[in-house]
Amino acid sequence: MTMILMRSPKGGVGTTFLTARLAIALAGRGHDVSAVDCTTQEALKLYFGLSPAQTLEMLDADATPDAIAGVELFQAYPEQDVEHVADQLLARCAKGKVCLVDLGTAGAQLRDRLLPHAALEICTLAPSPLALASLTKVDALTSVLSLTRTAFVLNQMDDRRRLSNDIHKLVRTLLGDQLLGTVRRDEAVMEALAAMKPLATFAPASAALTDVEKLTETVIARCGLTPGGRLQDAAA
Amino acid sequence: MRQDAKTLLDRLDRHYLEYQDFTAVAEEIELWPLFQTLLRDPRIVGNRDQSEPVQAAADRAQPEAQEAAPAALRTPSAEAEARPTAGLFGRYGRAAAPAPKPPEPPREPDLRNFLHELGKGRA
Repeated sequence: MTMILMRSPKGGVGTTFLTARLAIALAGRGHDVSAVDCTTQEALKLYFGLSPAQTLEMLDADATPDAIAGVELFQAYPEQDVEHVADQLLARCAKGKVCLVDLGTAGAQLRDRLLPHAALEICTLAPSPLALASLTKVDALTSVLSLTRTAFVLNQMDDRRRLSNDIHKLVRTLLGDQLLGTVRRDEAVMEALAAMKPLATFAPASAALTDVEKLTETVIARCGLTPGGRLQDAAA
Repeated sequence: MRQDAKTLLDRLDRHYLEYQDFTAVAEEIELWPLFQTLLRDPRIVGNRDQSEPVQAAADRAQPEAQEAAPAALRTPSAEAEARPTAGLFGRYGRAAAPAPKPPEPPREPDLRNFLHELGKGRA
């Protein structure tokens, strides 16, 4: 069982985008992947080309959803019952899967409950002063540099802009190995959402896609993942 | 893909763009005031009064790092105050032009050393 928590103390930095793309990339490498949307925005499905009107299978449902791009998608509402959601997540992830959990900016309760069971927690940052300041909110008890299961991804990076460039340099030096990778700002990400198509379909040469592929290799190495059985797409 | 990007790739006979990462050294990082504040925040860097590994490395290297510190540490205010002003007043006949102020010492040399040691330790 490999659980990867995806979160950020600041919203709008691309946590859900990274959850979706990492899940798809891992599935493409032969891993058995589930992705669970634990946010009230319910945006994870949009990155798979689904419509806002479509609903995902509930995490506590008995049925197994069809895979999209090799990923089983679930929805959960931890604000209703944190313990129940945590138990369901642990049960799902116990079946030899790689389970990515999009916590968004969710409260600490579910995160603290799951972190001891997680192979990795990935916190998303963006090159903005607000996102940088949110580093103070990553963990209530432990300083950022002392966290052992938490790593970071700098998303939406744009080195053509002075402050973005400076934040990039700072974060790279400050976090060192805790910085798993950087993903460049790419308008194609938003355009793909507007087109209701997965990014790889809409813009196969996207810079963000290239960066996520590199990031995926780092995540695989960090978590010690080995490819398991591959899910067949429902359409295949 | 945007048409202008595609046109450029076609001209270069490439299918994708390759980007090169340039690693910054600690001395090249511009320490905005927010950066300085966050680098002192124990929620990020831990308690620097206690012997945490990162701070220990910074403390050990600090005497050597201060000797080797570059002469011009870039902060926005330091750059502005380093501009010479004496010649500005000469043509107006004033008896003595104001002497240029000596540049202020860098604001946070210990933070830059701290970053430098972080970078070394993680290399």
